[in-house]
Amino acid sequence: MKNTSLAAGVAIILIANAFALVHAARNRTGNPEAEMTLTNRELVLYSTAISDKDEDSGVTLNLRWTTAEDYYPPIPGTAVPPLFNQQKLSQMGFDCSVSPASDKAVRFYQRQRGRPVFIALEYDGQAWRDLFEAYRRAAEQRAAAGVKEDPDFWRQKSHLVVIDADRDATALRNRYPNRSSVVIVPGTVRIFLAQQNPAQIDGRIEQIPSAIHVPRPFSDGFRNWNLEKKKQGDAGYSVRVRFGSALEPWVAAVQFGR
Amino acid sequence: VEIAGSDTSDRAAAQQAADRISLLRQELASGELASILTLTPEQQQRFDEWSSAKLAVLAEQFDVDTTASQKRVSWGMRIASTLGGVAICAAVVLFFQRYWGYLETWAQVTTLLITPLLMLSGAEFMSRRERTRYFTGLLALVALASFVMNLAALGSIFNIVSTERALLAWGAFAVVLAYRYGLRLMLALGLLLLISYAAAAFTAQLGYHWLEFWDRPEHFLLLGILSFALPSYLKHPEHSNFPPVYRLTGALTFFMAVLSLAEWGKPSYLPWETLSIERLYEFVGLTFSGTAIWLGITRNWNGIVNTGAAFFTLFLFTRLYHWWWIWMPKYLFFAVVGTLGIALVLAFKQLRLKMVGRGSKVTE
Repeated sequence: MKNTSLAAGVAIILIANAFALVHAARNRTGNPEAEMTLTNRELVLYSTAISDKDEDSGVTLNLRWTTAEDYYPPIPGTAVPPLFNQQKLSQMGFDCSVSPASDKAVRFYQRQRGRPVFIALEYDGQAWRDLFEAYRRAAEQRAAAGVKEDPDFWRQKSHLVVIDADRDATALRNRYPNRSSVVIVPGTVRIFLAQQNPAQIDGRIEQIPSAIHVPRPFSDGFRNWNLEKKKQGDAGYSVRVRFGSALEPWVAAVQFGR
Repeated sequence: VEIAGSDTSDRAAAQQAADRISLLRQELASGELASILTLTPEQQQRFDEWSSAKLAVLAEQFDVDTTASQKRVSWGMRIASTLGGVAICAAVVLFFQRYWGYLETWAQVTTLLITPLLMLSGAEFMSRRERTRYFTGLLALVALASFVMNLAALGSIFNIVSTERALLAWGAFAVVLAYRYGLRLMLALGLLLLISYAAAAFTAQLGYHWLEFWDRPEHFLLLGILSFALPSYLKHPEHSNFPPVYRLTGALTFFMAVLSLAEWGKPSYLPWETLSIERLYEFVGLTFSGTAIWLGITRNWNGIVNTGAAFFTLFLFTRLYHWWWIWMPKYLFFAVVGTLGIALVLAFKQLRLKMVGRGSKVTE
């Protein structure tokens, strides 16, 4: 009895670690839920993360994704349908019972908190092509009006586009069965009242877990790549990423150079 | 004089006993008490022998402070060990962060698992060699920080989506350490982690993202009351200084939540206008902080009296600010606040006078 509390302390550490390790192992067991090769446009390496003087020696890639709403000025005539309409938000569990025109609507929708959902991201697919085409047309109009464009703006954009969201990951996967071009990730969506005329209910993605740890030996490659980049300019890289049964990613391969 | 071993197994209770004996020795040595309570030389000698021996036994068994100078040094040691503990926590986390990228995954996992176990072993080793718990407390704090780093870094290495369950593990670990080594700071940290876990689990249960648990301060009202009330049901024969920690943690959680709702009522569950919610919580804040002062006085809970007084003043001044800041000339506003401050000091002085003469034990 004298050492029961000591044993309890040790047990808490061991059990918590066991849970985390078993969870990670189960995620990576069996066929991956999705697998795709992404480039430095979609997986961004922070240069400070691999500096010799940096306090953090870990190498982390950040998943970068896009939606039609990300562009300012907005892209007119985009073929990408709005992600979150009232019906979609209701399906996700948001209470849409108050009319957007009501006096109570602002406070009613402000008070609702973010909900965990699953988000489908398509890589280099139709959604991306639609976005690009809409942007190209808008850029031509702006060029005709004498507005200068940043030539690198579009080249650096992620080709990973949010195409759908659902509370049920399986239902989402059934709608998008291609596991090499559509990945499903957990995320958080928040409802809000878009203050336009007329006011309408909309939703926005608040968070998608986007940090992907790069283990050794791939992390060593990133350190060398960063040194080479300083000498020879940006050569780019591509990363084979797998997403497991818990929809959590890991790096399976890395290739440097375009 | 025959001195039996101390009848307490608790260092805090032993310290209180030593304080009472020291006080009695000082008073008996003063001329005023000697003039009304005359001890024969034999009685005086027996008392001196008994009190010296009793203090020696308490010091031997529990390493308690028997003089005022010792107490001052102890406070310094307590502050130094806490600050040292915090600094070592930062050093351990930053050291791991500086070099973990050069380790293979298995080595990272092993290091992360071993570090809190090693620190726990260190705390256990020190607890068997010291009774004052300064080094034990320091190592226990580092063990908790290592365990936090352990789970957080495992989550990063395997890209695990964060969950509220880590708060439960950290909170349970802190509470276990607190009870094993009699550490009050660790108990307060553990209670705050468990309160956060309960709020986060409830938020997740409602279908929201668990990290939104800060968004509804009303969760913390109930959890604060629960923590405050817990010592009434959970007896602490071996840790007589733990109930005040439960009460203080509960009171601070409760009043911080009320203060936040009184200032910004939008996140409330109540389906009213924001202004009405803010007014309600201002009223609740003033009423409950006043009640806390009364409860603290009647139960001799010093910490609760101080917390209640601090929040009562805070609620009163924020109310005055909302009422008068815009329309009143600033010099007049500060003059009124100053006058009210003086009135509050007088009121508290009256309360303090009422406390004089109470013979019962005062706790924190």
